[in-house]
Amino acid sequence: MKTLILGIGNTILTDDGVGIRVAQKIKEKKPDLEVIEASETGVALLDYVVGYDKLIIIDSIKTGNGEPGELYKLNLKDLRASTNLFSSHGIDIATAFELGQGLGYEMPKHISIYGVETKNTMTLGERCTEEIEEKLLSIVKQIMEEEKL
Amino acid sequence: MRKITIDPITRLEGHGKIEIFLDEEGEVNRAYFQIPELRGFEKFCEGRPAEEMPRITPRICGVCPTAHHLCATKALDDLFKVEPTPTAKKIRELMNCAFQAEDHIFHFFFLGGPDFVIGPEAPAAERNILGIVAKLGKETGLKVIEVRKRLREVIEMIGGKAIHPVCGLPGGVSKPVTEEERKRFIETAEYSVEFSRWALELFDNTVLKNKEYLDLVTGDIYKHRTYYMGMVDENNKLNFYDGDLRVVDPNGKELVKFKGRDYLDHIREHVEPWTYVRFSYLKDVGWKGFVDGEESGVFRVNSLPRLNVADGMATPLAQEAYEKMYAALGGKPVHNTLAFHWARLIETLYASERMLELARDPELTSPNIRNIPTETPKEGVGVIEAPRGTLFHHYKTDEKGIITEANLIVATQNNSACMCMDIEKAAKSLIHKGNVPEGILNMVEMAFRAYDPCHGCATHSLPGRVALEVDVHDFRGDIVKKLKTE
Repeated sequence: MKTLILGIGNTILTDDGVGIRVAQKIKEKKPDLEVIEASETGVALLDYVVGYDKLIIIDSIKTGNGEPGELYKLNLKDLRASTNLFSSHGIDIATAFELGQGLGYEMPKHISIYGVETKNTMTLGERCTEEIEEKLLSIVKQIMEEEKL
Repeated sequence: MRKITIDPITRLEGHGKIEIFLDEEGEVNRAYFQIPELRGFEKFCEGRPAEEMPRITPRICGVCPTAHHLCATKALDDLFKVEPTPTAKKIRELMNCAFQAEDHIFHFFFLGGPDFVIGPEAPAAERNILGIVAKLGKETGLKVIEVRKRLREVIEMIGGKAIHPVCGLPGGVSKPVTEEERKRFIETAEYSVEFSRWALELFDNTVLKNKEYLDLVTGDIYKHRTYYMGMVDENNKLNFYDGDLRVVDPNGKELVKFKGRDYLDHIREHVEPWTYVRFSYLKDVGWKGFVDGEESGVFRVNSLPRLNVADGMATPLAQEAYEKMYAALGGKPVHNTLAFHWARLIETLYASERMLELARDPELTSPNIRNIPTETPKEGVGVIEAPRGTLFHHYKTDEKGIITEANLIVATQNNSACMCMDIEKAAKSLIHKGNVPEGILNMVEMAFRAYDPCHGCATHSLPGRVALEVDVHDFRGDIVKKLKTE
């Protein structure tokens, strides 16, 4: 099965970059895996994922109810919160997938989406907050076990 | 590991929030929006070598990385007092044209256009790219995806990476363009010219031939008589990459034309206690509050403002489209915010035509791509037209080129005063005697979408979108109604 790991976020916005940090660490452990870093989740997704059987997305998330560094697994349909495009930046992952499928692209059949609870995504900084830095390896381990990587 | 469903609003608290305050009679007293503030930018930059700025600043905003990269690179030219070679300038300009076209196309087909193609009254769930594909067919969707992909490929070929380019250096660029790449650029530019003509035709058929939509575009609800700013070349034709900044008054008369490095002589920032947003205004006219007219220093940037300041377009097909728009909308300048969409498509055509000119230029593939700086750095300003309008980067360094101070004025900030005015006007036209109709949300969103504001990096986290929330307060300040995008 052809698998792509997509780390999403901004590595100069403190915890916003946690998805990329985790994806990089997975790559360090398993250099043969295909890992891509992206700063956007919208239609550009189609540029990356077409042709893969499986896609693992790792991003930051702020539910406000969890501990910083807590890992969640999400379904694509959970992300289908809205198709209302107020966002000036793009479309959500679910819309991008629906578009890709609708246009007949070969989209991955298996999709896993992980979100890491953040603490601070509004301050410029190249490291995550300490709480999250401490948990990076455990997050990597959880994902690798769950995905049998 | 918890499995959860996201309520998009929980993570977006305070983001994209609009507050409307009513008076005792239930009429709108004032309205404004709040967006999150990125903290620590100056501190983040201080102590870094200036050469890092073109690599770092694109990451501030995931939307305009190419514009930030090129603007930072231009600021370095100024900082190190080195003029880039003609080939380097052409490569950079070609890259910026590809980016402008790609961004504008994305905006029209994914964000702004659905209001017109599907209809402003249609359910929100249909007003998006999926709705466009459903209405205009799969071919349209494939065409949009294809042109975008090809344009991004051009950016990537020049920039090294599509998302965060690395090609810009003080005095030039890091690698030359090969003849093979040139061929691809020409193909893409030709494809993009055809696409832009088709998109303008689509706009013609769906918007201009529909009286209801045309009334919406030309109506009073989104109209403000403001000043405009944009970049022009030596013939006062629009240019996205290089030239002077020209400001015209609400009657279209030139107020001033200046060099980017003199921006502080002309632009000031007004601060209000209720928001992080800083409001740019024209120093020569002065801050008179959130009002339009000749007496108010409020100005606008973006697509229509650029066309309003220019005497015309430097390429033939775009010039035709430009003349057609002003003839249809009653001459220059046009003050209707929703006409930004039309102007955006005209600019897409210009960007594509200009890209084609540059791609065919024999000098493009010259190996002479860089002048090496020899001066001691001190201070530099870069300015460029980003898709959303004029962007400024200003750096000060010590003699070793280490950043001691950095200031950025982004396009959204230049438009922020008028965005507040648009919201307030929409609110005033729809809210009376304390009655807040549900439709206000989309009416306000339509004003927002026209500007396509850059709300920082808040959209990177899942679920990858910014929701809009409207709170209506009565004269006591209590919230009487809450509306939010669903």
